[in-house]
Amino acid sequence: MSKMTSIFKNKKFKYGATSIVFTCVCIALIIVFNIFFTALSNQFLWSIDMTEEQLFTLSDESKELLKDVDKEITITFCMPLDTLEQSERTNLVYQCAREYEANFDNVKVDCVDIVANPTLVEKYANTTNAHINKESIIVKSEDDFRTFSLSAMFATDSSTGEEIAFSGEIKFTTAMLQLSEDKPIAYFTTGHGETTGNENGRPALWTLFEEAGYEVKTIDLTKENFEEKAHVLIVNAPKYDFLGAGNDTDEITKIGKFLDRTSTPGNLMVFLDPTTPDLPELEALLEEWGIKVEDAVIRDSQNSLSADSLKLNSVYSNESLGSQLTTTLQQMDSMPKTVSNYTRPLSIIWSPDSTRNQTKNEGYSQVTNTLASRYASPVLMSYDTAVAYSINEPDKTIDEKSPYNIMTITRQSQIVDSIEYSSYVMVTGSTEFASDAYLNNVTYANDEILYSAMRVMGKENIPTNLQHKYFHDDALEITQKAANNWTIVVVAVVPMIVFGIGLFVQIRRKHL
Amino acid sequence: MLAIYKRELRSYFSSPIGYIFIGIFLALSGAVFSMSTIQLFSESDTALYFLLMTFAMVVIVPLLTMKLFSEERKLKTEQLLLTAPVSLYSMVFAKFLAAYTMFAITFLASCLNFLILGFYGNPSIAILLGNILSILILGTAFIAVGVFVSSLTENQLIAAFGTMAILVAFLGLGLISQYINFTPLRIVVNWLSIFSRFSPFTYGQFDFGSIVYYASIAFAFLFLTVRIYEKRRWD
Repeated sequence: MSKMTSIFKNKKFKYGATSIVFTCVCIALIIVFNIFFTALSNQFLWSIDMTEEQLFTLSDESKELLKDVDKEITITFCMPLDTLEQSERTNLVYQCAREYEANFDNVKVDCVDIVANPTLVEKYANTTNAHINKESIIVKSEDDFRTFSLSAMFATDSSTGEEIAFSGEIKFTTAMLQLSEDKPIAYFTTGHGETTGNENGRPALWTLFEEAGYEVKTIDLTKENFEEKAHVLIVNAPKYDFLGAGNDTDEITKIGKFLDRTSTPGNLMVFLDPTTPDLPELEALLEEWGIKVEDAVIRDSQNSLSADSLKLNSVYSNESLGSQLTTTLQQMDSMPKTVSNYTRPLSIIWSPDSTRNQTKNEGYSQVTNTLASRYASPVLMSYDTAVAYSINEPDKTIDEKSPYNIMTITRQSQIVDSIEYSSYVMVTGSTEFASDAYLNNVTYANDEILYSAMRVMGKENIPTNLQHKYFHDDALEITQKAANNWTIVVVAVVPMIVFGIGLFVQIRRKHL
Repeated sequence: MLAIYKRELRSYFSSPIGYIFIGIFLALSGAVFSMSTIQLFSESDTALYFLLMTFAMVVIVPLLTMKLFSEERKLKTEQLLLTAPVSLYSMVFAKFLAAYTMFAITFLASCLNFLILGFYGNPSIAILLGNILSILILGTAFIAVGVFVSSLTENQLIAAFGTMAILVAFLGLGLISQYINFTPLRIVVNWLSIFSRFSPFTYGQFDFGSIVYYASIAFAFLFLTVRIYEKRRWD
């Protein structure tokens, strides 16, 4: 016992113990300081965005768009935080979300591990067609939500499949705007053999409108009327005609009145193809808007993407109205394709306005009265090499010459109490353009055309002034020979020079 | 302190070690540069280069630090240092600074390779500068580890391998974390990992939390080195 006591009283022990304690305390303080600083750094985003494209910085446009949004919004990532930060792709999306949290008090970001706790996101998986997995991102408010996959946050080059730009900011800002506003309604007509699906499965076109922030419903115009929030009517592959004047219910007049509304102007999208039978009432309505649906099938043996010459690669119109739907695509370095299969040509029946020196490719207009006018233009066209064959006589070509219109858009402008109201009718000569096969295919930009149409039609929830953030072009223009030469220089020549200098110095020192 | 710093720096060039270090560093960095940019992908993206350089430094830095204190102990000149009219902090810091100066000059010289990317492509200058700065600060941590291990032994080889072992452990933590399913442990491992903390720099994000972490490692190991010599002085 006395030996033990003497050890504790030993100077060496006392000073040694004190020294060890002091050292441990200092190391502990360093660790605590680091934990504290790291936590603050994560909380307040103490980092500098060194990228030229400002990938990790929220743009002023987003801040402006969201400044009046006060709904509580949560962005949920479905994997743990430390896993998120380990991958460049997930880290980029996560940091983008953090920027929203840092700039807006009503936005929160959280991470849940759905592998360990799958029930955490069960309610989202049950109420969306999208598959929730650990790469999913859920943007939710109190009563609604949007889900995105990780790949949706990036724009890809349609020819190589390579991710070329970051679209996370567009997706997040769009989702937040949509969640903060009352949803406009997109109606799919029924009762004419249209393709609308049912509760067990909806077509991709239906889902497209849902993702764009619409409340999507069907409407039977023989029994129902348009609600005030109705924004667009979609007629998708009808097989039977609409009821016109002289019937108990006049569907065509209802549609006409919907399009002529000035309180909330209505818009119409029609998808037809060569199998669509003659629909006199519907076609008459379209002709009022300047569009004639030809009884023909477009084939292009030189610019087709299929052996039967029916799968057409579209040409984007440069006409001012029509080109608004393709501006984003035309500005890309590698312009993506939009395709249509089994297509009927569309003709614009109005003549170019000679008083405005219009040419055929510059659009057509018709003045209905002093306070209203309609203006039609092509959006997508075939190549000059295309030929249109009559549906009834397959070996005979029609009088109209190429290029043929595949998609057209007509705008009606009305001035009421000095305010201009616009409504649009968009006609596509191919139902496959908006089919699941093409809308779900990341190789084609068919969905982008439809999103653009929604923007043009005044669906404000899709911001037009946000841009993709294109990744820096890292390509080197260097030949293999030059690369080999530089390799020799940096790996062998320079080090050898250094070794040589060293040897020289050592030899000189030896002889001094 | 300045005298010790100058003496140490001069010793790198009065013996072959300095030239060997510079030559090997330039050769290794040149090979990594060539393989990760002009040869492999024909890209000016330097993310892979800097990630690989962190691993290359595990091998290179011990060459610089292995003799710092080991040689003094072996040649029995340690007593001169301990009885010199400088504080232990100054003495340790002077040696650390000499090694760091060698590392920094050599690394910055190797950065001339990036001019090749400028000739044939369009590298992102801001990301390059951010990564260069982060490597320089990471170098302080690595050299501090080397200084500490060198102070523990009089055998330079043991000092070199000991340093490598510790640096490999620090770097390896980030690589094994993906296999850890227990989340709290994985979080701790990623927090400690130098590799995990370095990755954001290669993406284009200059993270101050990571910079403070590397500086803290440097401070901690230099502090421990001073404590070692405190003990030896009074023994």
